[in-house]
Amino acid sequence: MDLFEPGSGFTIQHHDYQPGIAPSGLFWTVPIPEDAYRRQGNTIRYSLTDFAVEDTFQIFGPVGVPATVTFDITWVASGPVRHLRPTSSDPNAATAFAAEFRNAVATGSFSGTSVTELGGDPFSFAGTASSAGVFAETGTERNGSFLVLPTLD
Amino acid sequence: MAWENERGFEVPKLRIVAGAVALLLIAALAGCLDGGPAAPVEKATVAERTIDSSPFQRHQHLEDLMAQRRTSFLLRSQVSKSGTQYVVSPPGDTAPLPIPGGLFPGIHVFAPGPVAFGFSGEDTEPNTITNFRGTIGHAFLLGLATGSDGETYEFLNDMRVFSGNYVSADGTHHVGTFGFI
Repeated sequence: MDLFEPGSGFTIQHHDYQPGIAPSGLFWTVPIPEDAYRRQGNTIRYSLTDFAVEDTFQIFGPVGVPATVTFDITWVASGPVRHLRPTSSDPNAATAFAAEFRNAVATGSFSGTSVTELGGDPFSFAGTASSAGVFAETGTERNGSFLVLPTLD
Repeated sequence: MAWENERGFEVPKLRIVAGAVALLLIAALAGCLDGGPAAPVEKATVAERTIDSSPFQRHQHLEDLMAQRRTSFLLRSQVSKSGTQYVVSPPGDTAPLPIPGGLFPGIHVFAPGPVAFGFSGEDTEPNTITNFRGTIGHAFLLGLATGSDGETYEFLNDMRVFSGNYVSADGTHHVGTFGFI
């Protein structure tokens, strides 16, 4: 979750909330409570309350402070199912997975609080956002050991 | 002709968004783009067990990055006195593993979305976890936020959720739910 200077074209960043990179290299991904995710028909919901993260102010910023974020996002899938299959035998490829996805529109409310860099008053924010006109998708997928990559050589 | 989405953001700005994210990644990873083989991992003793190489040797670039820039407070206890980052999977490590590929060496994530907006393409892997079978949701969300300082901010959120079966670092099968923030 990234906050930018208005009108800067998303080039001047003020806050960067993320849970860090795991020792294994797992990127900004953390276990969450089971009830933080719900799926019903064409709709999924992903919500967390006061979830502990870090505010590094900029992406990969050298300084980080404890922070929490709260959000509630709902995806509503629409349109046809896209059947995706691996197009490479390279496990590093961006297409090394199989999926049945549908494009979606996601909307949500977001808020967060972080200790300021200089130890002053905590900073907090609240707002809403939507993927309309950008990109969202939902569906099922498999990769790695759950997938046999094609032999294309 | 520029057109606006429902939030009032002009589409050309979305290209700037993607470009800005890419530039930030590139800037942060300067010196990590040689594309060559990972640096050799020096021999180390971990939990009274001598290993010749890390099972995650491909992450040497990331380890160097972390040692230099502090990208995760989770790693501090695992940095040796020499500064070398050791990443091992002890027995019983039920954490998931990252996808092997990614935007850059050591950055195990792709940016699925329309190429016209500067993303990797809609057919790109949205998951950050490998050995996974389950359901996912992925979205780039744009919006406005009000800060406690009275200022208005534009915010860009890449939010993902993964729920299903996975094979963990120690090779065992599990069911879990994970969030990308």
